[in-house]
Amino acid sequence: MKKVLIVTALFTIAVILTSCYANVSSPVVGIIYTDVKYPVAVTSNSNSTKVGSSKATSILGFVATGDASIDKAAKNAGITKIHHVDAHSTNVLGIFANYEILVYGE
Amino acid sequence: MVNKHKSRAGFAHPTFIILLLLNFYIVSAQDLSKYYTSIIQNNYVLYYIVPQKGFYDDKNIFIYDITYLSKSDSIILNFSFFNKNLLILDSISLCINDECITSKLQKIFIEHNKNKWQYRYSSKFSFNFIYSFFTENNNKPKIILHSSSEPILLNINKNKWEKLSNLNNKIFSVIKANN
Repeated sequence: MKKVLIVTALFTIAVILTSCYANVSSPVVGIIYTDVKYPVAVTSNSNSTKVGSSKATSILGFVATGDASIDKAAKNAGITKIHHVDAHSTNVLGIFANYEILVYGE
Repeated sequence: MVNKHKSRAGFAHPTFIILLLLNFYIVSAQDLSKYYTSIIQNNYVLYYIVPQKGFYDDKNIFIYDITYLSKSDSIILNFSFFNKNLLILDSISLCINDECITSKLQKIFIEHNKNKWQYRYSSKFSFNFIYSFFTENNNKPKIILHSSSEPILLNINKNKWEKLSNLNNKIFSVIKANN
């Protein structure tokens, strides 16, 4: 059992230190699995009738693509007045990471 | 003398395998909140089903998302269609069980990126029709985009549709229960 834990810990540390780990911004991070929603911004505009999203993904920390900007998310839904912005981060074993922005407005 | 425990050390150890399977169970368990969001407003709830993909035409991808204001009869279907050719899209038809409903398209934007045109449009359908369309799992649906040239027929893989319709069924059940 001790050996297994040591091997697992060493493997995890090696993966992180060698940067072969798809990292994603999040207020709380789980090395094995992350699935967290959190706030980004809020404005004084009232009520939302539209929602737009944009996302960026990373594989093993080697390849990262996408456009997770607020601008892109707002544009996707035709939002001109932003009410608030949320983010959603997911990460599976450091292999696949996803960062999604959700813009609410009208 | 051979040490029996030695052969089961490392990644073949049952504890490790159980922990690994448990991790994958946690990871793969379907958490609906990943697929939709809902926020409470003054008099209604705003639901948003995050972008889903699966419909295609050759190598052209169709990605859609759904926005719904509770107690409303209509539902908004926004979509992106990626195509190498420059088109003018006019309307969209959703077809299921030999029934097609067509809606006029409202352009959000058209962009050119990585050798493909991205067409971003918005359309409006009745809530009841969208519910029956996206939750129908016996028959594969079809989407037709009516353009300035010939219509573009979008199909979906059967297995992909089964997964999507099951997921959408659960999401729409939540919406209906709160409506």
